[in-house]
Amino acid sequence: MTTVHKKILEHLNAAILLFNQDLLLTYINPAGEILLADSAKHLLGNPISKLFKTLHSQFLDDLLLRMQLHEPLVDRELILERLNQSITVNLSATPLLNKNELGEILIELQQVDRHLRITKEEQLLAQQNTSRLLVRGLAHEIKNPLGGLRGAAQLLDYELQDPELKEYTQIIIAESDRLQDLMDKMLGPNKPARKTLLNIHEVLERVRQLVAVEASKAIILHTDYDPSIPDLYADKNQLIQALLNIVRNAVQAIGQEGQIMIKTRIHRHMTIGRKRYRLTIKIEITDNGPGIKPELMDQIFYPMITGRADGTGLGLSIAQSLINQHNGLIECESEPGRTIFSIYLPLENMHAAA
Amino acid sequence: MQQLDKVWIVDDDRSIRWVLEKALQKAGIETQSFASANELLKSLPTALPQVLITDVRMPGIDGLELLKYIQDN
Repeated sequence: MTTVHKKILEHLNAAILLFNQDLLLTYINPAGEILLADSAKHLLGNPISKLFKTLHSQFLDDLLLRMQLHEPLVDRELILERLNQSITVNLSATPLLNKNELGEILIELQQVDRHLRITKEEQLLAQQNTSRLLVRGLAHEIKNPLGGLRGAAQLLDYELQDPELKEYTQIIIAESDRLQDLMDKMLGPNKPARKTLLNIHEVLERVRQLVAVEASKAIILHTDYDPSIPDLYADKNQLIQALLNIVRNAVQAIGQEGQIMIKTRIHRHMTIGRKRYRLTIKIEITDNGPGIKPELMDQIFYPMITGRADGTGLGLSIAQSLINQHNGLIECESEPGRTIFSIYLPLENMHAAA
Repeated sequence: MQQLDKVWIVDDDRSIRWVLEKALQKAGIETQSFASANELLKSLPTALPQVLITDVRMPGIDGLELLKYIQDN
């Protein structure tokens, strides 16, 4: 290899790995060392199956077959384990031919985690915005004729003498009020946030107390707080409402018996809605309930989407709009026995409120 | 106290206009309704009501803009 070529390889951002016919590593560039979190000295001579042990053996078989057919292979979003941490990579493999026979295999890896994450968050925010606009529009459209309906029933009620007939109008009025109440809830907070400097654990402890009173004794609430988290400017009542909705959801998902963990941590360098925050508070609410049905997963933040027969489907949608008012983000991941809601709240709105 | 005998109603929602008209007429109050602020402005300045009841959120000129316009002129 000429010095120039070597220099180029060593300065590439992509990880470049070269394997010989026996599938042993013969070259790795510095980007590759960083990606695999190990030194070339340790890695060279190792078989591909050991380096990529978390890839399916099926994948390695495919790879080998393609190489023997002298065809390149590109695969996206493969998960690689390294030092207790999994990373997502795009992989492309190219057979290097030597006199028309497979000589070596060149593998190029590019980490995509960060990139993927940002797109996912943007999608989530866009989805949340769309749903909010949709709901607001719909709720306003319903509220107007509802006012007319209730008013007309009220006027009719004045005219009626017969108590039996008044029952009819009373039902129209009461049901209109119920619908009106629902619309107001769907429209969410109409008051602007009243932000004060507060400690997130104050809020979480309040939520914990409220839920502990309501929930069955067989549901155990654990906490794992990071006491070093600085205070943030936020509307206390709105945060209580938002987090209460999420914890209540967890309680209802669990049913009779189970555990909920409320955990706080500092999360560094987070991008929310194209804005980068140096410090955010991450609140994780984990329950060991049955999990969210996969088909509901993409829609849980839409209003009226609920997994429970008696649910209004408003809890999460309200929580989400309250957290968005604080420039934050809610994410959710779920599998049977483990559902995590992560709430991110930026800590950098300090001067905005001062 | 001055007798209330003319109330103008501005609302883009027909059923709300109707309810307000009925309720006021029952109390013996004369009303005139408009479906939009623009429609009302056509009647200005030849006549003025004693009381104006207006919706805030309306297509075109909204209720607050309408009040400001009447005040300024």
